[in-house]
Amino acid sequence: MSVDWSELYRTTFPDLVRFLHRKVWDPDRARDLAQEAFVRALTHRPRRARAWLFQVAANLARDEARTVIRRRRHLALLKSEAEERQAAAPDPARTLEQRERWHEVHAALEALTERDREVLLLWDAGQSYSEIAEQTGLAVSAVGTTLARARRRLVDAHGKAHGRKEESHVAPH
Amino acid sequence: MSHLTEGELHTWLDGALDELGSAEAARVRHHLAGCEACAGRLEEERVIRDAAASILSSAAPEVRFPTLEELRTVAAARESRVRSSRRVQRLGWAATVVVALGTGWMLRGEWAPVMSKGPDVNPATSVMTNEVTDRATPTAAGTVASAEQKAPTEQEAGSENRASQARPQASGTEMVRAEPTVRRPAAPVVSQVAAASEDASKKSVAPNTSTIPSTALEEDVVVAAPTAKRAFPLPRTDSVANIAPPTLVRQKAETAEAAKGVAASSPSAADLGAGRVAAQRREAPAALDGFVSPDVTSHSLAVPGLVVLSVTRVDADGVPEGVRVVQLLSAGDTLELIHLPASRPPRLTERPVEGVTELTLPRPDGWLVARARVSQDSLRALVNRLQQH
Repeated sequence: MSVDWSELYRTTFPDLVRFLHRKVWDPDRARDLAQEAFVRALTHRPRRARAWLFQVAANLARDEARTVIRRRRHLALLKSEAEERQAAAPDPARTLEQRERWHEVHAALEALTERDREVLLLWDAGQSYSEIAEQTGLAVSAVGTTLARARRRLVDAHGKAHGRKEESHVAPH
Repeated sequence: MSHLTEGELHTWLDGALDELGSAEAARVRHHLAGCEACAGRLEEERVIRDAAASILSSAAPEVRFPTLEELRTVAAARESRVRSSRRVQRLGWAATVVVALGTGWMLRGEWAPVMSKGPDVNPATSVMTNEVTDRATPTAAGTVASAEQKAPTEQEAGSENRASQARPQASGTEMVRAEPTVRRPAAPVVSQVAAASEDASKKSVAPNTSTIPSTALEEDVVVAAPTAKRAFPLPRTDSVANIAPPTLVRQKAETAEAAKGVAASSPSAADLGAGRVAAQRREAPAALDGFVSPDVTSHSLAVPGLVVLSVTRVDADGVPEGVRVVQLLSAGDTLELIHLPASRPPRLTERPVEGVTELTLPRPDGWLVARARVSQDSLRALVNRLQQH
């Protein structure tokens, strides 16, 4: 059966970028990796394209983490010059605020175990329990338990970080 | 009657109850309908669930997505490139030349006694020459090309196969079971050697691997700088002498001369005895001409006179797209040369780090991107050295 690429792109690409962004914390890189995964899907035409895409995306993010130090030393990110030209100059204040938010979320996610984090991010990217189960090796019945724990820890960790930040803003006065 | 677990409550909230099976789903629904305590807990969990979703969505990336048509264009270009991967193969072959060259440098201290034996080197060298010549025949070339194409497909099919055991997904895409696929074993000829170069996580090339060409692009390959040679537990067998085909030896001779002109050149290149190299060349003259590929001798991948730190593949989709050579300029500073095939547009170069000069130049077989922390003029001078060869 042929894949409805248009539908798949519409329903999956934003989720894929979102999923990858929480792993690499660089929107452009997340977009590039999502593009890479999607191009591979177009080339290989997997039968279960959506699940396949997330599997490839997770692998790409893992490879990314492995090579990030090497790349920092010698190289920066893969980047199209055309896209660089198109990119509008970002508003510094807005960017700073956004970075701060990312940092908080990133730190809160780091408080989770790797498996809890993976399950939460897959769910957040629109994967079903069955898809999450197949990708992580968990039983379908364990996905809910994992999500319950992951969500609670995320909320706790984020709350603590936020609390500390509020305190530090008040403290000097 | 035991109460529902948090997991079951979240499964209910996520609308995934039916994925647990009809009996289980019915049990949870039935319990929730008659248990006030669990209904209360459900609301608590709902707050947590919503808070978690809100936290995650506060970190949403703002980025322009490529359109589906743009993705299709990239995929089509890639497919045509894979089909005509002869050029990649040639680059791969050339990369092995650099690997061998670097290994030659690395081993030169170890070689001295072997090389001084004279004629002993000859039969071994011939073996290497024959192998490389075989590879140049159309049949062998086809095999290599198809192997390169197959590799990523199988690798990814492996993950697809794992994924194939689950039930259909929510998006409603048609599902068919994937046929079983075989995972490709890791490249056997690249063996682990204690990494003494700066990047210990990469793999090093064992000097007695006779099939380097076919696998040099399968794994990241690092050739250690000469300064690091003592940390390598290298076997000192006669087969060590096989590593550099005679052509490379000639290149080494040229290299040693060229090194004098490069301001930042490594002293180790200059101390290559040109006389010794010439002697080696005389020992195996017959092997030389049949071996030389015009593509390799007309423009080399590495700047002569500079130590080769690493040779790694540049790839996407698991398909080797080019070769990255990193050479030592001076302590701590490196020159990076990225060779890309003509089919890969140079716009896909990586953004240079601040303070690093970058040059992108067309070459007879594709593109060259050079980077180093030097002035534009110096970088151009270095690259010019490359093009004279």
